[in-house]
Amino acid sequence: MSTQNEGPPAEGPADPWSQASDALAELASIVRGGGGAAGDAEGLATTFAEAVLTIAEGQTLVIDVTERGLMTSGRALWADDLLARRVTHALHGQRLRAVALRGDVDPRALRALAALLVRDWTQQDDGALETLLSERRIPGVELDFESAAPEAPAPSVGGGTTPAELLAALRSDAAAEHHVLGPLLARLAGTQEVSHEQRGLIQGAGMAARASVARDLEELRKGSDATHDDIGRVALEAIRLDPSGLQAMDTFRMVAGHARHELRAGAPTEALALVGRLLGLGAGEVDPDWPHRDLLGAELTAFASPALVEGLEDLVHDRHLDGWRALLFQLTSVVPEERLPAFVTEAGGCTTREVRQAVADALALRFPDPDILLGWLKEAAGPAAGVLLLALSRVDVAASLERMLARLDDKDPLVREAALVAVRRYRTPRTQEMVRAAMSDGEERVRVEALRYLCVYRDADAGPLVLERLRDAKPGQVSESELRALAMGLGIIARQEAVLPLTHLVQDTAREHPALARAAIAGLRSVGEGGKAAISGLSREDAAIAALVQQEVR
Amino acid sequence: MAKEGLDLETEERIRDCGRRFAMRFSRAVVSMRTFSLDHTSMHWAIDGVADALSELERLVGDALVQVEVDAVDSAGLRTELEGAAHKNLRELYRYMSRRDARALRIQGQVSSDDVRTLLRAFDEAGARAPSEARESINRSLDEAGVTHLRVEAGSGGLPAQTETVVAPPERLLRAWLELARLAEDALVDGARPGTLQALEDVLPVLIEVGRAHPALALALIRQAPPVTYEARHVANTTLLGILLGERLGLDDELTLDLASAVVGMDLGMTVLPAEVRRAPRELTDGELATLETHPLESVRVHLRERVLDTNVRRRVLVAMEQHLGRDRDGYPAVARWPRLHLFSRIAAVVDAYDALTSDSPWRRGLPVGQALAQLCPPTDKSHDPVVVAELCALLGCFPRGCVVHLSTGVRATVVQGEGEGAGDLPVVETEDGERLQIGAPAAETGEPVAITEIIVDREIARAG
Repeated sequence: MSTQNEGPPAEGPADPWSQASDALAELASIVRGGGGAAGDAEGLATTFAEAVLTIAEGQTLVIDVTERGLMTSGRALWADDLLARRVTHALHGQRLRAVALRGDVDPRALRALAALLVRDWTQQDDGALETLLSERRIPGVELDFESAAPEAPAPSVGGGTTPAELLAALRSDAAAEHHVLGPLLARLAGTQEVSHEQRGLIQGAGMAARASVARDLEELRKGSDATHDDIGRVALEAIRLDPSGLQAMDTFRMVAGHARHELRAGAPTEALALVGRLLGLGAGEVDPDWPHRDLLGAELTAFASPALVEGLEDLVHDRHLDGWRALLFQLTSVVPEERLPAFVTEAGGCTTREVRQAVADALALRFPDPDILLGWLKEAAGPAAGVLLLALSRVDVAASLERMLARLDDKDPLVREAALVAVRRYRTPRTQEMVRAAMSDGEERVRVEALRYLCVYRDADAGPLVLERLRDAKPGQVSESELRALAMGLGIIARQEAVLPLTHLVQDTAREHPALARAAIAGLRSVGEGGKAAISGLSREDAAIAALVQQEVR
Repeated sequence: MAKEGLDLETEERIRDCGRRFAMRFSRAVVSMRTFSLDHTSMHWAIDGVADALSELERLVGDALVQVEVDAVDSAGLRTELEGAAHKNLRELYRYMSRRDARALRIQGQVSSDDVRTLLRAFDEAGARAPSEARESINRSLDEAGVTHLRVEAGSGGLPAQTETVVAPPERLLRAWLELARLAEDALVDGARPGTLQALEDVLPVLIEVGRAHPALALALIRQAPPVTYEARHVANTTLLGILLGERLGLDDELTLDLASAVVGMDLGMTVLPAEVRRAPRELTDGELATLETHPLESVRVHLRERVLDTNVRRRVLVAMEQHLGRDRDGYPAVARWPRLHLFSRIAAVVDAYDALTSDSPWRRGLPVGQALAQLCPPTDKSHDPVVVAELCALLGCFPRGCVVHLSTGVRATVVQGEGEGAGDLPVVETEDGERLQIGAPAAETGEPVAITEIIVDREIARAG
């Protein structure tokens, strides 16, 4: 957004000068590929055309192409913006000096003109614009090209010879005779290196002080001197301090592009380091008076899109779990509300519970009124419902327990699992009964979550059920992790009463089903002293069991 | 004389393609020993090769690039490289000769993935006998569907003569002028995606010759050719930064990164109006406000790089920090900022030094001693005193008032030290009031008196 355009304040109907300037600036940004957000180029060109027609009021209008930008009658149409200067510099390169619009110019012609003006002419040959217009005139629009050779730029001090000319002369055979190069080369050739003795007289100067930079050198060697967090800090200030909102958004898009690259590379911590502070800037936490928050909000909408977390499942690895949790928590906090359902649905598809919980926790903080989440849950299905249930697990919504229990029958196992988490804080007979039934769910994650609930409340009625599952487990039917969970769960629920059945399990399965035997040993350990005594006894009795105990202890 | 059917500009572009191919391909080949092809450090090299070959194909159609021990032939136009680039070319020639594949035929646009396939094919062929290697490379290319690239034998045999030796002064001057030329083009055309890469291609020669001949480099800085101030400034600050980097203990790779950061630190100036950049007077408040936005634009230039690797991150930091000042009282007006990066502190010193010693539109440049005096504490509070001390040692010039330690074990103050060259050694006065000429024999030992340390306020230095 041009910050220095003159013109009437925007009161009442929109100011055509600002409209023309903003439309042209945004169009230039899109056409020149400043970032990832797509815009409506046609719409912007139309806005520009309408604004210019309003300004012209049916009279001939001359737009001068100056170093400041585009001016008309001494007033800025689009100027004093770095992007404007870049555009007019490119037009100057094509020797365009002015554009004259007839009073009856057609809006379509003005749209075409807008697209023409903002194109990056530095990528084209000299004279390309003039050639194009000689083949395709724009009715009602006359472009004034400078016919004489352009003025030489104002000489800078020391100027008069260009590096290119000197290089060409140096590469030729006549360098020695050149009036500048000859004497210079002769003087350089006569340069004496400082003798060792003389160097030694001042060699030490500065060396002791070099210890002050030892820390810097160490960081440089390790490559820890310039981190993504440093760039995030630079990006924040570069965006915050840029007088031009459009330029600032251009910077954001570049940083966001790098952040997306880091995410695709499975580096969420680096991605968050790049954009974390910017998310805060957009949310008004860093500089509440910053004038471009609305613009940044629009950019964040584009950035925090569902596509950002698409493919999350493939990207999340244990070693990056903390990074993903932090990133998704922060993103969920700032995603615009209209984008939130799709965002939550996409993140909810990740089977890693910790990641979904991070999104859920952010939701719970963002919407402290549980009725909002409950209302949303009523309409939600699939992954989004799962995330909402996890969010509700953080708040007290006893009155809506039935609504959550109903989700224990959901066809999506992630939702069933999340429902079990959500109801964990409620101990009612009906809840316990339904959770016990969930112990027979077809999905392991649901069964294990149900078991967790039963352990929390030490549901004695569930003890026989757990034991039965252990006894019925054939080799290969139940995973080792579930066997361990069941055995330890039995130990937690039944305590001392679990020692005898677990001991028998160890003895009965040590040879045919060692995984179950190891799980039972883990269960005995969870009982406490009684269990440990039983383990000692078993080890003394049977060498095979002793070996299993060793494995388990390791 | 233009090749038949080609104008001079196209010829130049074709030669440039060959040069870029050779330099980037040789860099990629060397880096393959350390990095995977997908490592961020490889992207620059691989992308550069793809760009160069694609451009050549666009210019010529069915094109052949042939690597020779002393030059690269691109589509029948011979281009000689210099200095460190020439050394890399020789290594590349040997590498390709071992595989009997000294030429590359291009018959379509080349992507970065194509280049990766080619590099892998070359690498795998290294295990074979030369007579089988070329066929193996072409087979690998076929299997990967890269049918528009082919390796050919090229001309064989090393030439009888050894490389033409270009004297260091001329080599250094060429590199300096090349840097100045590129900087000037950037000021006219703006900083394009290829600008930084082209600037960086010149750096290895500057580093090699500058470090081997520091007095020569300093002489060139002092007697720089009469080109525009901006062009001269870019070349001078880069060369000076390289020399300071060596004094501070940076190795080759880090020096290259430092040079890359210094050369690109002010690319944001290219979008400022000429009347601000070249005002023949002190700037107005409005013009100063405009000028002070250029670090933000410089940051943007570097953020446009495809990959945010360590080199790019360092460049971004330097672009942002170089005018902040030690107390953050410079610009832009950042809210809070930690310790400045070492490269930024070096960049700030070389930038200020060259600005002080150069003629500007409204004043003449200062003599070296006066310029250094302005940069030393307590006069100056913006620049890293450690880096300034190193600069004084590098130049062999100590401003009056500089406090030093002598080899005799005493502290002294420089009372005469504005010499600009090796033969002009300082005169110091000890705390006892004794005046000593550095280099003269000490009364007690008869050994020449030497400066062993410039005393820098440690607290100030630690605060960075």
